[in-house]
Amino acid sequence: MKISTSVDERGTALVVVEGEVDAHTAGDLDKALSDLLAQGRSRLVLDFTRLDYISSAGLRTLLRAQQAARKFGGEVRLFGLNDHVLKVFEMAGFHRMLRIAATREEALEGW
Amino acid sequence: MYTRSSLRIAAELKNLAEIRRFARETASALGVDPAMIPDVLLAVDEAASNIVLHGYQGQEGIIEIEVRREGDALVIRLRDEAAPFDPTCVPPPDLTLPLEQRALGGVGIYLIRQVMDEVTHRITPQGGNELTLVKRGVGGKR
Repeated sequence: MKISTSVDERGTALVVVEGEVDAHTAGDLDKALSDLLAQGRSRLVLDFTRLDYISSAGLRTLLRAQQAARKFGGEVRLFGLNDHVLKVFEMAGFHRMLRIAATREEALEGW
Repeated sequence: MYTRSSLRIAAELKNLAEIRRFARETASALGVDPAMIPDVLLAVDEAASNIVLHGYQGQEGIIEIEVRREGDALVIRLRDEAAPFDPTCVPPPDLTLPLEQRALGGVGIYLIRQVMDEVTHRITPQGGNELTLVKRGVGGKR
């Protein structure tokens, strides 16, 4: 798994996650998101365009981040999910707890 | 042509990628419909994660995974020597609860049940665990 983060001029964090998020790699994602939240970034946009796989460990990480982000007035948004990744979100009911945007633009707008 | 394959590997989270690779390659060699392989990988990964985290609880141990074809079904058995732990007894998460009240546990076994047709647990004669996952109608060759 590879993670790269950037923050735009409006303070929205873009987190690009590539590869596979499982119970081993979820810790790195958790740290990246926790670091952003600790810096006061609560508008977190995750680019999953190059994410091949996610398990429940990744979902738990996102849920924790969403709970924290909401406390600070922001939220976690996602875009670019492939069919298999989207199916995991839907099976677990997580598509109702995290906004899954159709496009990068949609995810970055309307805060 | 072989119809079954097994892997013995240390019960460590860093081995999950290798476990998924084994499951992918074996399922593919056994003629499983490629569209079903992501479900198989998810189930195997979640089951193996449970063994590492809840079975061995960070202690050293071995996971043995056997994948075989039985007619139109793919049968996966995961064995360990951890203390008896039956994941099929974990209550399902309440997916209707609002975000703030959602618990973080129980999603893994819930997903396994969603993607597999049968999930059964038994204690092995050696006192370890054996979890059997069955997916039917996997198509393709036998």
